[in-house]
Amino acid sequence: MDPDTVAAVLVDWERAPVSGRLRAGLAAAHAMTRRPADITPPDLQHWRNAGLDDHAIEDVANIALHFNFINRVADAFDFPLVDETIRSRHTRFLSRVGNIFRAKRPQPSFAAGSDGLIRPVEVNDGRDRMLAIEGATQPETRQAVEAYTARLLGGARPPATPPNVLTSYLDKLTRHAYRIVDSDIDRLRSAGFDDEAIYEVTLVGALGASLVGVERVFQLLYG
Amino acid sequence: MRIDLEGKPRPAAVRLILRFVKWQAGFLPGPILMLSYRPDFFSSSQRAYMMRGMRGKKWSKGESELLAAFISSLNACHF
Repeated sequence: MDPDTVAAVLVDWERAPVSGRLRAGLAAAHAMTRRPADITPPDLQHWRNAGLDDHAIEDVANIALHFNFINRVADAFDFPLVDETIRSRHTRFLSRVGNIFRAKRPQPSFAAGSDGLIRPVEVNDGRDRMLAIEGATQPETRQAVEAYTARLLGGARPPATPPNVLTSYLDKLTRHAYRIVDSDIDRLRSAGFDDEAIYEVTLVGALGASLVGVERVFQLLYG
Repeated sequence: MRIDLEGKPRPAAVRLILRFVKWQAGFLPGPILMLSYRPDFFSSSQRAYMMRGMRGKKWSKGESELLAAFISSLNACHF
């Protein structure tokens, strides 16, 4: 995609010179990121009217889940930034690796999870594993963390109370992960969380927050 | 990085893969470090889902990358 178009979208996606179909895709991505629990049937109809079929909407949901999750983790852990040359090399490398290890999307691609919410099949598997596996944190803690961050964005979870020491970190992780600073992690360490525990709560917290949009869209598409 | 994702001991096969990735990509991407730090934390199907990432059939590669960059900009994430 030409860099001028990309730049125009990042500055003002509603007025950038893109097709109506792509603008609908951007609108869907915007909704899944900024107001995930408030996506409505008229939203989906608007996207369909612009030319998106259910698979195209599902693809946007998968991209939104992937990047809302990785953005949160990247900001929490302060992944190193790279310059554009290295980023291009990285992207080409990932494309080549991805083509080697390409896994087919299961059919059907969605299923109800253990809590009854509809998500991509593999995501249900992964979520169940992350919430139940033996680890540096108790499964009950991770379940509370995931539910807490999902509920912050309007997700359908039972009320949850993670340990007090985690709540301000989880609030930042959910709403503005770019504001996480070293002292947020230091505070967790002072409270007894080691690297493995911080890793676990960060990933499940990021997952809970990032799932809300996908769950809402999949419910509307396939519920 | 705020936790030591790179320093954790890993099996020899994983270390070899990371060395290959670093040689090919020029650096060790954060997501690769994240996945390899606790591979047991992810199910194999979830890893496959993450590797598949953006490769749906309804958007071109450029469109998928634009959607990804757009979402990252909404999150004010520079990664």
